[in-house]
Amino acid sequence: MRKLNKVSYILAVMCLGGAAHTAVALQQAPLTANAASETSPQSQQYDVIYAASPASTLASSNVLLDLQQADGYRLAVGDWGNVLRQTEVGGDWQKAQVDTSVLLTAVTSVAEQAWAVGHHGVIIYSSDGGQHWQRQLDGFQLFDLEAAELKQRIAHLQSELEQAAEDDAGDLQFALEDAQFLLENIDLARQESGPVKPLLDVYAMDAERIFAVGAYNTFLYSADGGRNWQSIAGRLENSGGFHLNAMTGQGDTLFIVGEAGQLFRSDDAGQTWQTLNSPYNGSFFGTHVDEQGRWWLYGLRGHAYVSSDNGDSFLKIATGTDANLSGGLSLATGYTLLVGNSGVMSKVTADNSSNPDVIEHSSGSVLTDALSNDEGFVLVGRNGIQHYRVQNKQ
Amino acid sequence: MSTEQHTGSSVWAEKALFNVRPIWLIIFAVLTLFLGYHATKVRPDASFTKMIPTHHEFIQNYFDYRDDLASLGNVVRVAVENTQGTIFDAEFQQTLQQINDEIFFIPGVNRSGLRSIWTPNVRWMEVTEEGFVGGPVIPDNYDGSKQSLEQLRTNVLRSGEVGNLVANNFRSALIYVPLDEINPETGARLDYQDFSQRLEKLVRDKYNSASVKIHITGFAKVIGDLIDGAIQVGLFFVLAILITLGMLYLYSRCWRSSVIVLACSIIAVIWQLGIIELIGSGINPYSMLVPFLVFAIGVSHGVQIINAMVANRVAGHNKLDAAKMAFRGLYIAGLTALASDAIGFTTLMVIDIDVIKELAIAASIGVAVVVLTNLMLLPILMSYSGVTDYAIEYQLRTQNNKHIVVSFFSRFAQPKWAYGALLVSLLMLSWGLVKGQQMKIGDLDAGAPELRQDSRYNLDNAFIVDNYSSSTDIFVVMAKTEPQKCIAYDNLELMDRFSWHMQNTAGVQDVKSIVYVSRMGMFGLNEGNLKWFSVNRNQYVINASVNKAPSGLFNADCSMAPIIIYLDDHKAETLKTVVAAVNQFTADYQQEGIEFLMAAGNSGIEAATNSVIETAQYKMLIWVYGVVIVLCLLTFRSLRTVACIILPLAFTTVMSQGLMAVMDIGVKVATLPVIALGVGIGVDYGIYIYSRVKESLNQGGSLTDAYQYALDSTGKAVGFTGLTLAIGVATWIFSPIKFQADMGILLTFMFIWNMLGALILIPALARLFRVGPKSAGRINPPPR
Repeated sequence: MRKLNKVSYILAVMCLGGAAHTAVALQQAPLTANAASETSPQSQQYDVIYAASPASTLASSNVLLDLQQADGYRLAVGDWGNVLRQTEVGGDWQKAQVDTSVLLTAVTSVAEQAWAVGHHGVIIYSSDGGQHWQRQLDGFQLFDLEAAELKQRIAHLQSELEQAAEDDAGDLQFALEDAQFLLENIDLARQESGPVKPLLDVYAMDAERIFAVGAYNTFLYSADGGRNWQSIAGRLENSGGFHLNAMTGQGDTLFIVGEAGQLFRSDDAGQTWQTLNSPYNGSFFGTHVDEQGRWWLYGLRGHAYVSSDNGDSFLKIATGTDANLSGGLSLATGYTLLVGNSGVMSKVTADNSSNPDVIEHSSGSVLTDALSNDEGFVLVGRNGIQHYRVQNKQ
Repeated sequence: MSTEQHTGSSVWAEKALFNVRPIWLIIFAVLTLFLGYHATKVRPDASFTKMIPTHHEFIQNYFDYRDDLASLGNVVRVAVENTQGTIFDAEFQQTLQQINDEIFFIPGVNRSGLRSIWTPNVRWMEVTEEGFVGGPVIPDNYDGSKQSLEQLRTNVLRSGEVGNLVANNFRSALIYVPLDEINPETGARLDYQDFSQRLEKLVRDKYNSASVKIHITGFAKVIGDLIDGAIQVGLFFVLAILITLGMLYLYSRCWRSSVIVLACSIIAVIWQLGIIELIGSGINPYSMLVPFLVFAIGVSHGVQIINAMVANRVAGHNKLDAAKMAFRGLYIAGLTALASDAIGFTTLMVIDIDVIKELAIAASIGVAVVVLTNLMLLPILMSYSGVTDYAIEYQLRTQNNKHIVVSFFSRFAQPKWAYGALLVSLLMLSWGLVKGQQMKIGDLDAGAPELRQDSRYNLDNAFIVDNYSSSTDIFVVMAKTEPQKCIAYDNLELMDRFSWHMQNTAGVQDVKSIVYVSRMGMFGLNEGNLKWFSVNRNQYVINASVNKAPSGLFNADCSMAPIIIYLDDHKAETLKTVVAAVNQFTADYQQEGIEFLMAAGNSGIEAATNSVIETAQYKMLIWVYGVVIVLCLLTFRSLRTVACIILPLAFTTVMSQGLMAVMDIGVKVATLPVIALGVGIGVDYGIYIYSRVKESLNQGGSLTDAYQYALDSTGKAVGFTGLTLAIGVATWIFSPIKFQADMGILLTFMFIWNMLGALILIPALARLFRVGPKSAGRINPPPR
């Protein structure tokens, strides 16, 4: 019986690999100074956080998760600390120098400055338009930030508890225990496993004010372009610790979408947050605000919504698919393109005025983000950078 | 070795042989019956382990984990193609279901592991708000209607089986058939030939039609086809016997002696097979060559005896005396030649691959047997039968006309022809040297290299490779850890890095291992959000992510996880690059608690075989030439003589390497022994010719005269020998087994080339080295 499972599982694994892998003949990349430094001193324990992104010619065909249209260049980030940079529309994607190998999940930029986040609590930063990247934060430092916030909260709650009336004491006691429990968990994780929480999105209000969101209610903020970070998880009402999957905003209004339909909004540049009534109890994976100021959010099983009033009400968008949607792009023509698993690209309008136009990308692979191109769209996902040509781009 | 001793021992041996002829005949008859009985028990033996270098580090590592890796390899894939449309067709689905059921009941099939869209273990799955939902790919209410076919199409698409159980173009579907090497019920070993034949009969023969085409691949099928092909080689043996008989008659014009030579040579083969069975060995697809060689060597030495016999009868001796004199004259030369053959073959023992060792042993035994049958039994039989009067008449009639062969080759002792021949050889040699540099190690063709490219198996294989996302060239690295640590975070993370390193290596298509399962598991557990496609540090999360991966991707005590590397091809260069990449990684990343061990998988084993063959190639050449040079030195006591005999052989070796490069024949288990065989047998010609030349030179003859004498007495026989040997192995060129055909081509080339080299280059080199008396013009006919 076990043998059966072995065999069938291997098959299953192979099929999960998806479409045929084309044979790519490539030269073994020479060890760069960069790559050499990652391995010295020898026989040191390998850690994906501190190992430089390895030289590779496959970076553009391997997992890439997020695209960023910056001023005069484009960035794509993904597996193995890969950051790819394109300086001309339709030009080559060059691999940047990065001092980590974690899976990068999101990227953002302000002029020549750029930030990317990823697994193991890693944040990297570039000041030269994405050519060279250094770590600003890693998961071990993240423990300290979270512990500091929790200790502060605990101290605050304890002093409140001392002065509190009997009626409020129960709630305060509960909140205190919750904070203490979280703190214990951090200590435990620090000792036992190390950083386990991936950061899932990054948002820059300007070159100074940067936010990062992640799994299990991880929420970080920097007021100085990422030189110093702080944990602000306590600002969200998320005692369930749901994942914060994506973030967007316009002006001082900010939005966070998350697991199990969690939605948060801030109207004061992130100082205070309120939990919104969600139109859907499934997870949202992606969000953006279009030119007209409409807030788009989309996620599990083809669900997509748009709000014209910053989340007070939502309109359900017919997407014509039940595949997960995780990336979106609103075009000047009034259409919005939503992309997701199984190569699905769904072209919709904000008022459901036309039937969704669903195309399956020939790769059939997971798509996570899209940008507009001369000929159609640049896409990223499971198979790296892919293109979709539109015959008559409308 | 002085002439006195020659005579002394010859006389002694002659007496022992001819004084008690009936006793010898009885002994030979009894031995032939006894060994013939055992020869019938010889079984084809296609053991996998014998074809690989078992002492190589890679193979040792593989053997350590052989049982853990078993489920990775032994699988047959049956692709059922709809030539008229797609698989979403009611009639086609019915056929597919029938074939599926048919295969289910074939003994040897691991039934619970059988997978196709018609088996219940193939399911589709989806993530919803509530979690996973799924079902079997064939809808529960399937009835062949348009709707249920449409449902089937949807299920197939979301099952992720496209490229796996369903072709990328939807025109064929695959049945994945894992095999049990040991039958769990009976404990019996899988009979590959039987399995392969049942598959042919119950599936291909039964269901192949205008609209349905069956394609079958897998190790079991290769072995089955190999054994079937080997049986055909038996027919070649019959063909070789018939052709040889015809040639013998043309040569001797005597039915009696032709049949006797043939019979003695066949007896040699019977003895050889009988002895092999007695020492507990079998006959494998490589050592199958040996009976052909033994037969051909037997015939070529037999011809020398007949040659002498006829000459002696013409000279007026009676049957018995003619036989005795023939024996006396050839006893030493024959023994020397056969000894050098046998020792030449024995040098193959330096190669650490069992099939080559078996071939070496079998060939050495065979040559030793030829000494008994064709140097002893043959003269005795001839002393009874004599030669026909017609043969004597024919000899009388023709002996005064110079044979065309003799008159042509005799020119090469003259300076003009000699230097011309040397110049041409030098040009050819440089071609051979240049081309030989391009000679490749290992197998060069796609698919199963044992079989021909246009064989049905390889066409089937090409079909499956083209239509499904799978490579058949697999290199497995075993990640060894402490027990229970194979999926510990630190180890997984390094395995992940290793996988990426290998993925970035030229020639690698894809890398799969438990790390990949864990990453996919994270993707699945997190609602199909690709942002989670990473290894997590939390051990509980890792365990959950590989929850559905039982131990095929790690062993029972979780101390080893195979990393499966799919390659573009199994060319030696590709394998070398892969091995170098693994070595580089292990040098760069030395982490306590985890080791990356090479290598399993067909390509891993081939990498080991190639590395052994590459070093053995030179070792073997040094040994075989060393032995032959020493033997010639002992016999002739002259460096110049040795050079005259050895240089033509070396010329042939270089030319055959050039030929291998041009014909895309790689140096591999099958072709490596051929070079040693070629040299070992090739030296015979030199010994026969040069011993005659020396005889004449000792009498004071000039080189031209001496060579003329050698050609008169033995030239025809040498020419005949070369052709007989060549024809014996040339039939192999038609073998359905590719490596046997390669062996046939090379041996045929070497035997003919060696013969020409001996007839042309020995006199030419002798001229160059100024062998013989200074006064070349003196005429002093050698005595007969």
